[in-house]
Amino acid sequence: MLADLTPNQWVALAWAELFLVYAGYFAYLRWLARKKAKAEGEE
Amino acid sequence: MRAVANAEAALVYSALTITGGMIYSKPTLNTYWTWDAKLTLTAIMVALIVGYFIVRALIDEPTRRGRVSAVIMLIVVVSLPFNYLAAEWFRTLHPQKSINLDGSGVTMDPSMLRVLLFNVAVAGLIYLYFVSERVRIGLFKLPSGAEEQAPVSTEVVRVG
Repeated sequence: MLADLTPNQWVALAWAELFLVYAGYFAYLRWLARKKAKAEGEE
Repeated sequence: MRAVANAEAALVYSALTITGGMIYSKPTLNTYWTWDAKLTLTAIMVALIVGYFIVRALIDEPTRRGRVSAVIMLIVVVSLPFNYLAAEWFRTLHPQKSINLDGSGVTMDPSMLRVLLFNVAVAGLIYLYFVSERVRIGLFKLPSGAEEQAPVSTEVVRVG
């Protein structure tokens, strides 16, 4: 299926992958910050 | 904490390198993956970084955990020059460098070079943001005077 992609679609796929990885780690950092703030609030 | 933050960011960028390289490779070289020297070294590097987090999760004693994980990261750092030169030493599928630091110049179109340099700069800034934010969160979480038993790294491993 992926073999049928046009060059522009490959570029879009690469951008999507870049965005997903960055957004994933950013979301992880936000989650960690919330969790820690909550833990500190309970102390 | 800085070491863990940098290791996390290294894992993120290594994942980007591997998956981005595969996406580039399929339409241009007609394969997602081949076990040539550079790709294999990169895969080993990613495995070592993952191992770094596994080791940090398995060892409870802070001094020993720090020592063992530092040795693993040292191996990763030592492997970087070999990875950099692997495409020159072993001429297989991976293209040679387009920017040669040995003085032989740039074999890349100037418009592509500008875009590349811009992207490197932006990626570098995002890297700095990720690391500084991770360090800030890590330090923020630690109860005062409890850095030695901080569970931060253990939690990082479970998630990452």
